[in-house]
Amino acid sequence: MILTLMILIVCTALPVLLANAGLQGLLPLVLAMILIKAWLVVDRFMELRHAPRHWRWAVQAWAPMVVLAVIVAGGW
Amino acid sequence: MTRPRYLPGDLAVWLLILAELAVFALLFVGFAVARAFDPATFAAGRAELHPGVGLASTLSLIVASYLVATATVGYRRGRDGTAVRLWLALLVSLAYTLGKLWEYGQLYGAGYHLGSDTFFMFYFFLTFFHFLHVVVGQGVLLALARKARRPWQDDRDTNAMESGACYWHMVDLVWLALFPLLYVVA
Repeated sequence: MILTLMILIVCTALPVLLANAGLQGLLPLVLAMILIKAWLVVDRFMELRHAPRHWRWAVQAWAPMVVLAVIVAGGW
Repeated sequence: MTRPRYLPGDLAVWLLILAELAVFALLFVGFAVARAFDPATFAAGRAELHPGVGLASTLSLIVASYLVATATVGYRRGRDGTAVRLWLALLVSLAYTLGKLWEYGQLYGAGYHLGSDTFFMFYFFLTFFHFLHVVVGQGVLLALARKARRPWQDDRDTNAMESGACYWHMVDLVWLALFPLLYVVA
């Protein structure tokens, strides 16, 4: 669980630090970080990795669908 | 041996969580579409936000989620310290609440509000809608912490603990997507 916490912190802080450093074109990184963080929260913190598969995938599908919708709808 | 599959918490809470996630997903799509029509306004609006406060708020929610997750596991296994972890989670999550209120105050002081432009309409609506969920989640944590403070009983109600915890993690999950979209790439 502590490893999950550490990865979440790194995935959250990294894009902000890079953006503050003036780095451009961070969208792919930001979206990838959202997917990783969502995966960890759903599987580890919500403990859905041990849940019936349809429940696990119903919740796991949320972040990829949001990311895909944001890319398509936003024309990114 | 394969571990039997088990949905933590109450089925009704999961239906609520799926409904909440669907609503936030639609709002995110609306945000992305609006940004596509007016990227300059969104870039200018983002420049007025305070990413440091946003980052601190996000980290407080992540740490609170970690504490809630470990409290839930400990509670299920009958370990001591569940109430302490839940109180700590509540305390840590207050950094988010205070940070958000501070940022609202700063933005209002600078003349930004719901009707300023499209970016701030989405910013205030999305973040305040999420803020309300956090406040409800803090109420849930408070109730669970008070419940867990009592001496261990045989009929320990893990269903309530797991349901409350999953609601809290849903609030965290939404913010983990909302924060970078608003503060980093808007």
